Order: sequence, then structure tokens, then C-alpha cells
Amino acid sequence: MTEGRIVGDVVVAIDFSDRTDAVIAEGVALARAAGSTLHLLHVAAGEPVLAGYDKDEISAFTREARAGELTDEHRRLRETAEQLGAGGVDARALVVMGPTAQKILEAVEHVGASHLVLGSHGRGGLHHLLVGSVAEEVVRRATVPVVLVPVRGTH
Amino acid sequence: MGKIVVGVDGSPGSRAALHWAHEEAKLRGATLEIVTVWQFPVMTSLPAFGAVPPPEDLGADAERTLLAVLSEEGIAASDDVPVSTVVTEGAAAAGLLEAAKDADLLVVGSRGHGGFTGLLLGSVSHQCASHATCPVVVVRSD
Repeated sequence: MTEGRIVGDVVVAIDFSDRTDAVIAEGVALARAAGSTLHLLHVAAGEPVLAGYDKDEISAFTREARAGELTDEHRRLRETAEQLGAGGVDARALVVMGPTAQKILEAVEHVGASHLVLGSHGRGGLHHLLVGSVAEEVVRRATVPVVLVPVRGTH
Repeated sequence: MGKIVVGVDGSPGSRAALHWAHEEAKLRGATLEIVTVWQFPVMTSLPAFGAVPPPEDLGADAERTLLAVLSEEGIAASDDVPVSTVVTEGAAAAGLLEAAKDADLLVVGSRGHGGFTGLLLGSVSHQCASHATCPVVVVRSD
């Protein structure tokens, strides 16, 4: 029995590290082969909790800085999606905020993706780990095939 | 032409990986290399004489298992997807990584034979994801 694969959308989780291009390229290869839609997903860190600093002006300042960062990240993602669109790939940009692995899995569910692509390590810098903690958690909990793109530290 | 390598040990995860890899090879117009790695059993005490089959039998067994899986799963070489099989001796992850050196993708099941159920990832898929130079696809069987 040769069972046909359910071809659905591809979610690519990216973190703007220097290996982001390789991760996106792998998502593009999958989406192109199947003629499916590519969702560029960036999970932004949640708002920092400043324990011990409850002064209003500090939290207002960090909120504003975070909002600026998020706007910037979404703009970069949209630009990438537009470039891919010009190359004939239906790509969409999505920025969500929260715990990385959980939000990635929620996004896969939300868009009904059939594939998930992410780097083997994120920006966390824990390159002594063989596989990054986010990648590990995602692979463990994902119900769809996960493509891990090798991402290594330069040292 | 691209090349997709898939590791098959007969486990449900590796069968799911096989189907995924075959479909992806068809979609991409790539060749499919199906790899089975067998290992001489490690013994903690000296076995009785004749209890352990000679290595050449183990290799032949591995090859028979692979061919049986291919026939059960209906995977055969076709004009769509050129298929080749490799049976190699050694540690599973090392054998797969060697085969995938010049591949576009290495496809593995999330857990093969011999995995501890408590492991987050099968140990072979974990080692592959850690050391491969190409993207590694981890496919679940359920």
C-alpha cells in the first residue's frame, strides 16, 4: 500500500539568527514540492518580568521598547514573505508572543500544517546541547513530521 | 538530482519515515536511498558455542528484513522514484549519518527499535539530528 501524503501548509519557525536563511530555504523546498502555503512564524519572547522593580516608569519604558521590537520583527518577517511571494511561493508572516515551543505547536495546529521546519538550535546560545531544548520539546510533542535544520555555533 | 536517505529498521516509526521519504522523493524528483544498519550483538557473557550466528548471517538477515519491509509497505523502484538499498554494519546513527553525507534530507522515525520509551527522542534520531550536516526529518508513526 502506498499511502498518499496529506499535503498541507508548512510552518517555518524562525528566530532571526544567522542560520535563519537555511531554515527558510528548507521550508521553501517543502512548500514548493507540495505546492503548499508557507507560514513564517516568529515567536517573540514574552514581556520581561522585572522582579523587585515595580516602578511604573520602568515597566512603561520596557513595554514601549518591546512594542518597538515586535513591530520591527513583524516588518522583517513580512518583507521576507513578500520576497518569497515574488519568487512564486505563497508565504505569510506570523508573529506571536509566548513560550516558544508551545506557541510553535499551537501555530501548527491553528493553520492545520502538515509539516514543521525549525533549526536544531535556537538563539538560546546553549550550543553545548546536542539538540536545542525548543527543538527537542517540539519534536517530542509534534503530531506532524518535523524537519530539523542543522544550526551550529561557530565555535 | 537530489537524494533523500531514510533509515529503516522495521519499526512502525521507520515505516512511517519510509512512506514520507518516498512521497517527498516523488514530489522533489529525488532519488531514495533506503538504509538498514545492523550491529553484531553485544554480549555480557560468553554464549554457548553455536548460539550466536556468524556475522554474515546477521547481515543477510538484515537484508531480508529490509526487503520484507519494502514489500509489505509496497515500496519499489519506479520511474517516479529511483530507489536503492544499502545494508551496512555498525552503530545505527553512524551508519545513517555516513549514508546521508551528500544527501538533501535524512529521514528517521521518531523512535526505532531498541529505544527506551522514556527517551524524549529515540536515541538514533537524536544523534542524527545532533550530528547531521543536512536537515533531519523526524516522522512519527501515530
